[in-house]
Amino acid sequence: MILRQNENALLLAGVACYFAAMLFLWAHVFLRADDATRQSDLWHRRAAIFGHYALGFGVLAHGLSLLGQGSALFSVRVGVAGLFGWILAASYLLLGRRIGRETLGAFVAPVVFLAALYSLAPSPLHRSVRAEQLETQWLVVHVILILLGYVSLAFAFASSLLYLLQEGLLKRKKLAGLWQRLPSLQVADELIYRATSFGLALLTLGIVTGIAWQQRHQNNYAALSDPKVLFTLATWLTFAIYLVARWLLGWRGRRTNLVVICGFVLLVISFFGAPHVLPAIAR
Amino acid sequence: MQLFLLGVNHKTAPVEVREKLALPASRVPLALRGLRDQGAREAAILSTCNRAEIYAVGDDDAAPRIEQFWNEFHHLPARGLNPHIYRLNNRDSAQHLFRVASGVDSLVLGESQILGQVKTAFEQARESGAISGVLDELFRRAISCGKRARSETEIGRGALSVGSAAVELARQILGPLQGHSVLILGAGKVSALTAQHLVASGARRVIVANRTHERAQELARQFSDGNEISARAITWDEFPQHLIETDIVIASTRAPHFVLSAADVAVAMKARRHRPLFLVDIAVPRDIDPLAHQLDNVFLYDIDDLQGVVNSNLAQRGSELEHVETIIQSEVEAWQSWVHGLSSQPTMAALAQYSARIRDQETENALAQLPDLTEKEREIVRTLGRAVAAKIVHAPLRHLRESQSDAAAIHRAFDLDSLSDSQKDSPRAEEST
Repeated sequence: MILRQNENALLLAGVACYFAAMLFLWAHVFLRADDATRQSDLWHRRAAIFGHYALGFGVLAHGLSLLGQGSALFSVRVGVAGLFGWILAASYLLLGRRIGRETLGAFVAPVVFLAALYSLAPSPLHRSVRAEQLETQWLVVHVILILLGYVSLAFAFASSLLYLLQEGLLKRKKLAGLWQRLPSLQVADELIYRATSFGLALLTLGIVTGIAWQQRHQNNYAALSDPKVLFTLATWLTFAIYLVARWLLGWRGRRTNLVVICGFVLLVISFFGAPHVLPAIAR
Repeated sequence: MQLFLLGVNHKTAPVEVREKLALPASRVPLALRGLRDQGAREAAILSTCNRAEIYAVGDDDAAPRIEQFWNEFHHLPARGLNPHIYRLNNRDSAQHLFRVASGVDSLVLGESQILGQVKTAFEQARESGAISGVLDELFRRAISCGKRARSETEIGRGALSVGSAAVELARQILGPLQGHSVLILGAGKVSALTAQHLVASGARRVIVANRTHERAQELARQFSDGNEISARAITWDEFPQHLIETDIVIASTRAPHFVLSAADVAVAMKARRHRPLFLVDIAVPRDIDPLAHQLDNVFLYDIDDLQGVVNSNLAQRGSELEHVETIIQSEVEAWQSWVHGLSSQPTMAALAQYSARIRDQETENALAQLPDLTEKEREIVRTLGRAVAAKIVHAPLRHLRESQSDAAAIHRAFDLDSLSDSQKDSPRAEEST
């Protein structure tokens, strides 16, 4: 009950923490980038530690506010965006730091911050879905699958940015400071590949369950005329192209990683295409 | 009795002089014995290609004799070292050794080899029995100072040679080097050295191509000897095919033109399915067309690029100098107070003895004149004696322990010399009984 009342304040606190985390983690990567003295090394390490603490507090406050929202989360876009940001931040703290060094956070944190910020915005759809539409477990399964897929693909996106940053430094031969803090190209590339494979598998399952759910609720549902579905398919295809190019053609490096970034941009667009879907159900 | 240092290094003496002072490990014990014959109570010799230094503890007149011995030992003309030598005493010689061990006095700032060489000098001297209290402590402190400088500052960080710069780059491109292979084009000394760095960092396969095949075979043998590395020589014409399987290429031929064109690299990249390729061109004139760097997933660095990494690392080390000097200063202060403690120790012991003697004498005198006291009362008198004696010497003892005060002054103030003279007889007398 207390959570339910303070849900907004907690969310606001979470968003503020995410913002602070983003600034600290950016400072870790971008400020004093070509300075490698011990002083700046300590400074960078401290920025990363502060950033991770801020992210941790953000996850805590945001998590409590999500508990306050209850099952409404799964049905509204703003709720889902918040949940996505929370899972991304939590899984980065659990796994991502080990894999991608601390610089990965500089690219994960802004995604988390924007998602949480978006979930703060009052929306006409907030809490507008009636409870009986949640009765079916399909929806929850669908949303969780898609969410985990998104999180995985967000990691692929963040690692792609890391890769491009490191590649740019190596190509321009700017070899002081920052390049030593970034993961090696090979490590970043491997992370992108794994995160994309895993994310695409989840996304596939999510799409299948989503279409199944729609068809239960709407007999004459024409999936292919739904712009959200079209964008989702385009997203799916883009990531699939990346995987095929890597598996079959052996593409690697900058160009393939640009494909991943395009895929993530499409993913964001397809997510915001959602208003077209929910009113259709409400009718 | 003092600590002194005689030395020459790369700043004071040209290589023609330093090479004459070179001392193979086998001759070190002989030299140490010679130094002790000249009046050094303790001695240690630090001999590297950039410096030759003698650290010794002895009386004031031992220094010139040691210097003369040094000249003779190396068959130099009398006073032949004079224009090059530096002579430091006590605090300055300790500070010098601390700076040397920290790599601050080295030709290449912060290099780590010197710390090992200081350790070696320490061990050689210890094995020859040439050092005891003072130099033993000095070298231990120097080694710990060197370790502190490297762990608490960045003075030792970053590649300082072209070879280790190549390793740093390879790691950031290819990840851990285990399982990666190296192709050497041109079996020269520099390419072999660079490849050696990569092998030491995990690369497990080496392929050598050279215009004269025999030289390639020889180098391949050098690599496979005694290592778990598969190294083989290939003929020069074969090498473009091997661009497909290797990830690191080191080129240093004497060819006057490019031996590897960008087009060749592009063909190889297709065949390697665009796996990243790291090209190191250390030849002058260059061996690999610089346009290759424009290709996706190809990273080409020439000698200037690698030197650039080395230079930026050196500049970073330079900016750490101040921190290291702070550490050295604090170590020198700690050393000075150790030395001080050493010199005031006899005074402290004498002072304690002095007060104990007066206490015992006066207490027993008093007790002899008071035969009727009970055991409890006698004990009170003894306690009184102890308390008076302890309180009188408490302040001077604390002064000796804590501050840099002049032990000799306290020695004189209590007239401790006359005490120790009279004391000298009594223990002997006790021994004889």
